[in-house]
Amino acid sequence: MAVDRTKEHIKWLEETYKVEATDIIDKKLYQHGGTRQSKRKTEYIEYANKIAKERGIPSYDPDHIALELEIGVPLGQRYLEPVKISGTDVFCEYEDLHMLNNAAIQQMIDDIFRTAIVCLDLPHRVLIDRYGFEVTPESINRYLETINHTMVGGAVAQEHMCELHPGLCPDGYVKVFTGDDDVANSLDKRFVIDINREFPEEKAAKLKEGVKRSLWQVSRIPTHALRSMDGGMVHRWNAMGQTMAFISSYHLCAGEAAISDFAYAAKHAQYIWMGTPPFISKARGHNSIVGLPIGYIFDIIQHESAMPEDPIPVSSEGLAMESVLFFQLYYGQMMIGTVGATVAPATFYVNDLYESRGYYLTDWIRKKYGEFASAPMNWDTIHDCAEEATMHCLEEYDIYPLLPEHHWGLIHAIQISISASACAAWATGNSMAAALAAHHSMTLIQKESILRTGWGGQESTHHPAMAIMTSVLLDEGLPVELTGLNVPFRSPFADSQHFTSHGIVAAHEARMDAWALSPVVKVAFADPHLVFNFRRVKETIAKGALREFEPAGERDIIRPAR
Amino acid sequence: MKDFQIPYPGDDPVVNKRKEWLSSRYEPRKIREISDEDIVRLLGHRKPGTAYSSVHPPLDELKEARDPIKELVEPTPGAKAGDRIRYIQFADSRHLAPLPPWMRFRMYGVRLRGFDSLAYSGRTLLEQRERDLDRTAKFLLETEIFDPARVALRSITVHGFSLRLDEDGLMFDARRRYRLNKETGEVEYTKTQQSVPLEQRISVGKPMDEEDLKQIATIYRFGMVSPRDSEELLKVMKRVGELRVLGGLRPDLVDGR
Repeated sequence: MAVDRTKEHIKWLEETYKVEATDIIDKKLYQHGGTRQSKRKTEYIEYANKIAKERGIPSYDPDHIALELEIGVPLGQRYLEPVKISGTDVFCEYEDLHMLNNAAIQQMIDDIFRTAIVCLDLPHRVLIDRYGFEVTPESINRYLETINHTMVGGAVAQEHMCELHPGLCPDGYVKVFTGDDDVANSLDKRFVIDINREFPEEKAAKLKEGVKRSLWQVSRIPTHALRSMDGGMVHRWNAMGQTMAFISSYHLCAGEAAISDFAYAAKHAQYIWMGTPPFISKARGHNSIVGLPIGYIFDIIQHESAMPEDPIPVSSEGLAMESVLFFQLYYGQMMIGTVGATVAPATFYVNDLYESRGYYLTDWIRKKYGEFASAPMNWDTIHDCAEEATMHCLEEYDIYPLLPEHHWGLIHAIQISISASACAAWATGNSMAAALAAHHSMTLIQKESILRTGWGGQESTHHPAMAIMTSVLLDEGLPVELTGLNVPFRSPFADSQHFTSHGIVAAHEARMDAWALSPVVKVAFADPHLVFNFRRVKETIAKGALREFEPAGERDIIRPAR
Repeated sequence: MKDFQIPYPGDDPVVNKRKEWLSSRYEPRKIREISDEDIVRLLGHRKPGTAYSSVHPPLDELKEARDPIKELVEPTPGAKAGDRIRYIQFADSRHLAPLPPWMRFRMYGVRLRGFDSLAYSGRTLLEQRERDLDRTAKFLLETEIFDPARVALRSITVHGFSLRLDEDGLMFDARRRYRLNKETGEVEYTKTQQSVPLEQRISVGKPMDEEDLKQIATIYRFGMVSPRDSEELLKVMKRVGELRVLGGLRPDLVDGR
């Protein structure tokens, strides 16, 4: 490998560090300006001083702690590099990509887990078979108007109800979709997610075939409600709003025996969870990242495909979302907290690195196998992909010392495994091949090439993974798309999920699939009214970094004006 | 300790160096002298000349339940005396530190008794009974295992192994525990591994020459011996990977392979 400064990620590194990527010496080390070289840290220090003065209790104060009390590490002795969010022109600091500093990242998580998806076929059958009613486009439209009132805390059955201020939940609403164009066209367009409009023709046809003639309802529980409680209330909130809407719009008797069928339909019968309940030590309700089946990631992202030429744009969007969900939210915040898992999660969607390495690998795949998703699913392919991706990355880390500095410690190991995962996924179109390539890269190739992997214990999940991930016993593994953090060996560490889910996104994109795990989830997230833009994951995160993203769930309307 | 050699696949300069470290017969080159007192100062667990703290009476004075393992395993001097367990931790730069964490970890396994260790991405923790640790620390600091520029003694703020080097060629340390004395050309520690200031500077010798570091390197590296060229090692890794998967899925599939 020769030095190549035209590589996108090397170019951005040189531009942000303002030195040559091949230099092994940092002449200004220890003289980069401390915390004050960072606009964000400076802002935080000044703000924290104000807080400390007002409340009389010290707060964030890195310079005082490190330089005056001589406790801890003096920050900013190395260069605190800005980063460019991949695929955008937005530069920011890593602080802007901490999920609690970035409203867009928070909204991405909220929008996924405040979603309740339920099939209306059963309640409609109850209305037809048990009540002898007619269900018509008009009655469905009437129901939809009603549920859009009840879903945001509007009363329909009686007085003495405390209703919600609509200003607290403008993001709460209900829509429907179906694979039957005639039914979809007969409904009030304000309430319909139009598959034909949201997807290219070929994918729309596949999705309609998957959704079939069923009518699916998507309820967006207000972000404010989700944040005040947690994902465990989503199906209950939906059931209350839905059942009351059925009772009212079809003039039923509140409390009659048949009403239980509506409640059952709304909560259980054909209800799609965005996550099953976590295992006991991570106990929360349903709709938490722990229980999210990883196959849903490909279904949630909506970026336009560039296949058959290029699997990278969609894969890259998936990687950004996976990094946020598994690495930052789950590992960084739910398991660790405070500073979280360092800057690691953000490195996967900055400086166009994934894309730049990806284009090297897609060229290699074309030369070796021809088309994407065409390589045979066998050991030779898995090993060849794992080796090529791993070696290519290792060579880059050797040639450009700026790169390992940017990807300190743990991150280089996962970055390499992600590349191995993507390479095998694009070559074979098989998510299992991707996962095995990633594990092979970490446990054997990386470890024996450079005698290091990642954080202590990090690789420990990769070793059992080799042996048990092809199993479908419930305590060990599942078909890859159905796995998630609730599978024991996947739960403890930062990267135990990351590249497995990435392999799914990359493989299904290489196969030009319309969905990975559920056509219903795919359509549910094609809704243009969602607050977070799932068509533009990185761009929306970038808006959050610039503080230009308007989130939902704000309480401004009920607090004193400032 | 009985002589032994842990097998390792391949035959190239990198693998052959690894094989040396995986042999109990290999004697690392001693390249500097650091006094026992200075070793104790650098470790920072007690003051030189003070007695070891103990966590239990000497084993000879203890009445313990019969345990056949105790008859098989000779206790280390520290265990015999009842010393507390203390640590030493090294950060090894990715820029040619002689023994990266996993090599260091494996080398400990070949050479030490009565220890616990953990290999991270950039650092390796070692815990032993205190008097055993003093002896081990001397071995680790005085031999070719320790390059003053690319290896550092750190119990906290270990970050830095993957960063570029400073203008003197030293690995980054946000706690500035060591500096190059430009007059003597030697690296001097001004703080303990915990980053507590020392009363006097302790020299740990001159940094090794870049070419020497390449000669004793145990990693594959572009521009030296590329991992792409480690044919036999790659072949063995493929076999290990396949057998792990097959063994977990259906052990009968492993038969005959």
